[in-house]
Amino acid sequence: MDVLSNLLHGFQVALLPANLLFCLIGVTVGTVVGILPGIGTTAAVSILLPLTFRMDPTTAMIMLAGIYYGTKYGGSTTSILVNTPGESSSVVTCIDGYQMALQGRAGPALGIAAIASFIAGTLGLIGLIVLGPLLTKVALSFGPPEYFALMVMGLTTVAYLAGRSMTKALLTTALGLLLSTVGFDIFTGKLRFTYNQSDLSDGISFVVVATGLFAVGEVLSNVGRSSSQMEMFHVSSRLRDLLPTWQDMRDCVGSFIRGTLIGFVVGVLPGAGSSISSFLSYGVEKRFSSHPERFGKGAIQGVAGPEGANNADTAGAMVPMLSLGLPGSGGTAVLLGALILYGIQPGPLLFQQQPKLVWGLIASMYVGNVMLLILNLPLVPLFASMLRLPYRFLYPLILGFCFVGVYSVRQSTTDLWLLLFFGVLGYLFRIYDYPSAPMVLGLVLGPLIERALRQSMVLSQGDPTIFVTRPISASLIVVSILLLAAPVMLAFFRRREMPGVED
Amino acid sequence: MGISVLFVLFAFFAAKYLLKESAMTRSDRWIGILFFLFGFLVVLEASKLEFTSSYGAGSGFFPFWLGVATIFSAMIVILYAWRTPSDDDSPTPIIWSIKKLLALAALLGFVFTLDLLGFVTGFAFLVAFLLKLEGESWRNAVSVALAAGVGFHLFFVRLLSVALPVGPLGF
Repeated sequence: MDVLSNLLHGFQVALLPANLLFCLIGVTVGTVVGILPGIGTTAAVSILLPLTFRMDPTTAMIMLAGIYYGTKYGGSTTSILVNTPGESSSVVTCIDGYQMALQGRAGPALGIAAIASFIAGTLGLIGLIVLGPLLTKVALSFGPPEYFALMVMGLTTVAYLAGRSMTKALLTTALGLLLSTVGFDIFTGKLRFTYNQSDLSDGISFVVVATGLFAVGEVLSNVGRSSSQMEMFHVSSRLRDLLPTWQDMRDCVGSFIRGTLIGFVVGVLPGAGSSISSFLSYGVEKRFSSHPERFGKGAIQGVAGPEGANNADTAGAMVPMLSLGLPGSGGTAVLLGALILYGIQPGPLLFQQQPKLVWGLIASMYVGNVMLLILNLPLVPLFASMLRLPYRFLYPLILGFCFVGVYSVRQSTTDLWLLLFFGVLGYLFRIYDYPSAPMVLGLVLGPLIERALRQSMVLSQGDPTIFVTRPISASLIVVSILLLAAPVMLAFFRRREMPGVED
Repeated sequence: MGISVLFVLFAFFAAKYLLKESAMTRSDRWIGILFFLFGFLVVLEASKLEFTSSYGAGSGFFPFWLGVATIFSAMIVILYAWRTPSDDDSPTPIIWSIKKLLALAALLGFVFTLDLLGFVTGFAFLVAFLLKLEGESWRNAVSVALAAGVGFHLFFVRLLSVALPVGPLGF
């Protein structure tokens, strides 16, 4: 009952006209920022933080949180329409979302992404209220070996992103992991693989690699095609065709739930990041699907699951932030910093000392999710109509967005050269059938894996059995092996069942 | 012990599965060799870094093993691509047409002249060139390029305050 009365009180706070207005401003800005490649959640919240100094702390937190989860909604738009992920958690949406757009189903893809985000965001908030304290205890028992095992589990999704060749996927994953080692070594402060290029000392940005491989690679593969080949997008003008059908919704019910569960649990773990939840969700969706062969070719569940996970992750990340004062991601770290700036001490006593702020914030996230659905669904036809523009007019603009997005991260011309390099690489990967997504997965997970691995080795004084002697870590490693082994074993048994059939 | 047995079993099934891949072509031989050399280079470079340190694993530990993994994966690619019969070879795709090369040269030129011309001016030139390359008339190419330049300046520079390189014209 306590929870219900607190939540009701929270709604009274969230529904105040000023809070509603700033919630609307926050989610709208978040959606726009999410659409633009390169300007991530953390940067957006940081840039707008000074504007909130004179505000009431509750109103300010409602607006900043609105930006935080609003970016997750917007991130899918460019992934689906132009194969350009707005942020790392939207990379996986490119795989099937863009294929749906190529098949003239950009509208349903955008619609299902908005609906999945709404459902997962809302269910995630219930999780935040009910399961928050329990999951926080589990998350606190995670040490470096458990994080390493969790990251390895994240890497197993390579098996599901592999396309036609697992070997090629392993090769591109290794490349991504290698790229993540460029720059300062976080432990010793030494430079690695920078070859006296000061611009490389901070490492190679994920934005550069993902934008190059996906967006510039796609543009290069389309330049020079004949007009008939280039007019690939068929966008219906009927509103009915621009939104998901009831069949689409029925097909995605399981994906919504699985995405929510994965996103929420991963979100609770500090440092795990929403990109892991979306990649894991994609792997699980493919594993659960009765038609795994459709994945990578425009399967709607490949959009619904990861988009749901990506949004439920936001509610999960709020659990350690509000109940323990631990930031789970860059975005929540800035939110936590904002609390301190307003003179509020985050930590276990926050729920008792600041009930108006905490419950007002939680209730405002419900309100914000409804606002985002109302904002995003009517915008689907508008976004989808962008694809009616002939490709020869569209691609110079896509390139412009890529250049601005990449340049705005570090104001570095080296990043633009790297963008073109990865664009050519992405194009060659396409030609020779090497999957790009595992490379991005490797790049995102690389620093986290290396940190957890080396911390574990320090803990165990160099003994690698630490990963299999701790129960949670051992269980996660066994699950990873099973996840990796599943497609291998299935293929093996299928071959035995059909000895005369060629692959 | 149990885990080791599980690993060996998995490695056996994985090797059997990987060596039966059908997605390789003969061009993968050369790509595999390139990756092999790249992996070898990484191993060499990583060997120059500390393998172990007072913090446990050193700076070179992770990249060294990643280099080894690259070499191993590249060897599987080469091995399988070598087993692909020549008559199974698909026709060699036309990778670089003149149009594609010109577009790539324009992109390189845009980045090269960025500090000289400024982002907005350079981008307008790039759009005009790409549209002309696609067969648009001069009038269309120039008007779209001007609109794109002005639009980008208003949206990114004025509205979002994104810091972009400025040329002699002030944008």
